[in-house]
Amino acid sequence: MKKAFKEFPRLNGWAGKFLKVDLTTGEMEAQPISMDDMTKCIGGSGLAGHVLYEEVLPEIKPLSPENIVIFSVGPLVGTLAPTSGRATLTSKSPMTGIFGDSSVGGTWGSRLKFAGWDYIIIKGQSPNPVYLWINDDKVEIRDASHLWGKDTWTTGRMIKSELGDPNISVACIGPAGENLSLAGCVIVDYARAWGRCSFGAVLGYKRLKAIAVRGTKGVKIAHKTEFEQYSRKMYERIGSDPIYEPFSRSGTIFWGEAYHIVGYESWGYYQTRNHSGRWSEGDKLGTGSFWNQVFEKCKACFNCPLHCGHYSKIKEGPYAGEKGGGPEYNAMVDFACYPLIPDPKFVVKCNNICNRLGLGVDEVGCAIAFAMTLYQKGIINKEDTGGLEITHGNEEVVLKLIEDICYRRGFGDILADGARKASEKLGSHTKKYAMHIKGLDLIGELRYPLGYLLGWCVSSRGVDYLRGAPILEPFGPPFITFEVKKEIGEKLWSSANALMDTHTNIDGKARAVSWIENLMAVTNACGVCTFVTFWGLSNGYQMEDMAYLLSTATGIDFSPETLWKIGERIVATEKSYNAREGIRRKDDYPPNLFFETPIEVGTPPKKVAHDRRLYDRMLTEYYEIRGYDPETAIPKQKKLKELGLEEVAEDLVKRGLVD
Amino acid sequence: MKWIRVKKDLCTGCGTCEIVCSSGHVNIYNPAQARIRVFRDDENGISYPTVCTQCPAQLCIKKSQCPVEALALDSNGMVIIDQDRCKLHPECPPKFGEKEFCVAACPFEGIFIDLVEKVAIKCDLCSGDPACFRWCAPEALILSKRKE
Repeated sequence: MKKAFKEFPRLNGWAGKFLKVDLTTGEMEAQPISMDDMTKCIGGSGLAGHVLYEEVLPEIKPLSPENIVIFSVGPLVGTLAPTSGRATLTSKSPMTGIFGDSSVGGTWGSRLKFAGWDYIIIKGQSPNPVYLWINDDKVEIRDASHLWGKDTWTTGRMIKSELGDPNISVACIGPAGENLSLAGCVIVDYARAWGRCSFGAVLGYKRLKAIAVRGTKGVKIAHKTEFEQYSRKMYERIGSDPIYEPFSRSGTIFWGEAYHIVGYESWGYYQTRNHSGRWSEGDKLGTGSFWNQVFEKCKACFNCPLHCGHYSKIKEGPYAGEKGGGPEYNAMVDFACYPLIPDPKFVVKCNNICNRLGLGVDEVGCAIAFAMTLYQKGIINKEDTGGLEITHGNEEVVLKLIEDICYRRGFGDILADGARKASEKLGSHTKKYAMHIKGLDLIGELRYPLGYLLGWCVSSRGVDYLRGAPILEPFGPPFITFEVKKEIGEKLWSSANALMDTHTNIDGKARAVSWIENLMAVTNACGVCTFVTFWGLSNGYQMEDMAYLLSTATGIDFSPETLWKIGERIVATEKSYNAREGIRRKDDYPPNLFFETPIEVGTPPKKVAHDRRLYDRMLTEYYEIRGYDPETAIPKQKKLKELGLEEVAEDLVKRGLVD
Repeated sequence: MKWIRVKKDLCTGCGTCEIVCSSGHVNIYNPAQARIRVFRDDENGISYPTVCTQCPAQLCIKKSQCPVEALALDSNGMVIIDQDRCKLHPECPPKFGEKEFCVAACPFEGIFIDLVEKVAIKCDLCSGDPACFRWCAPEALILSKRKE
């Protein structure tokens, strides 16, 4: 099936059209985007959330032809605004059964925009494996039988070769997605990933192996001089941020050191042994170790001056010669801190296998950590694991389980569904060791800062630090001084305490979290990277900056006030989606462990766990700020209407979810 | 003469040079219209831009068999391409799938085809203040001066 679409009027910022593909019938259709929609939710992930709300109702199962996947890019994608290369994948997640989305860097998003598309909606299920080839206005559904079973690197190489252009960007699934392993993700440009929410399985179910994109049409903007002057200002602000130097050099691996220096104690932040605390060997995982042992080069996503990515190569030892993009901080936690293997080389090895098989490192790492806890405690034994000794420090067993999770073999078949579902199969006595929020596996130690904890817990896609969690909260000198943190807190949330890392004082925390959630919603909708917003850098993008760039790019006036409202609207839509799926207040809590089991932090060490009553109060305050019902966590009708979400309000009323 | 020197090892592959170039020349962000292009091989961690080195050998003029003689020197001795003459002459490229004459003649891969205008393009140093150099965050591009 091949089709050449005519051009719709080109817009500024947006490409102007979107694509609908039905894989069951092979039908394809292009439509102009609705400016009403765009002024309401910008585009990108903002638009995708609205589409998902309208199209994927509670009765639709994540792994069914009726579920849709939406690939979207925002109006700033492809432009000169620094870090303008993000693309979002949105769908109902088979891991959680609720709203799911994931953002990726690399070049894929910019290529989609250059090809002239703002978003793609894919539904149905192809009778045989296919891939989508987007070559500007020409779109083709091509046979992928010869690619089925191939890993993501081979797939990328073969597609580029058969289409005859090395500059094509390929997003594809590996054997994990094909085998419907819920650890399956979608890999972009060999080492970037739409990692979370199990979208590899969704594409695998649809038998969509890949989407290859080539774009030669470019992106135009409305007010070039103003836009570029401001982009330059942002470029310089990012470059002069105190966190820029270490972050641009060592990427997310640097986070460990930032936490370290703040005095959380020697590497205690590293959530070792499935969150059971302190580990004396974490200091083998500093940025110096990574540069000495594996990092070869800094790599950047499209138009990013921060270049936090890396290319790595193992120079010696049993894995010598292994090379590939990454790893990131999460892979380090997943394959070093959880299994207690303090070796950057092993992290690179595992990261590469996951990238090749199309596995999300967090899904795999958390599942293995869960299994290790159960095995160490004697809750499961060799009979349950098919003879595997799932002990800490056992490299062989980690490598074996990664493959078994991918191919759903043996004990790996149970782990392939994530910790929550695995614990359901293994028995209720294992439930308390399954670390997840809303069904999404948890990577991150949450026993220190309170705002951070709240941000992770209320995130719409399940546990997540990229929505409302103030990452500056656990950071400290020399990257950000306590005085600056207090000043920011005072200025933005009228509380000097808001970014301070106390775990006894909730003042300002809920305000900070809802504020950051709104900023992140707008950031993702525009298509720039969260890392260079105020979330990750104290000099980073704020709403005023986004408003100026969006207005000068599109020629449509977006004030900061409008954007705050849009951010609130996007978040409320996602939360309403989840409400419709049965998510309530109880689902916005961390695992009990974080209240019940203290761990040692600080120097001198002291034992810390969260106070449940304090968390209760903070959560209630969050709902009140948001205009959600504190009893149910569902957005109130009045709030939804105030945000212009009348249809959502009516839907929730009709379903008896709001008064 | 000034020229843009590339330090391949430092390039992160972000492609900012491409879009700032196309913006300066044709007011659009489009790598397919850029006069500097980034070669990327993400599987092997390779990325680097290629751009005209303003080389004294000027093989693009001397070796290329441009059917319309679109390449010439400007008053500063820099090679320029007369786009009206070029407009991808019907006999260029010589065979389908082959490189255009001037593109093939440059050993530094410094001449490109503007895929929208269908015309050969090359770096003109932005009148002495190259935008790609100003925007290269990892400092992989260096504005150098060659002795005549």
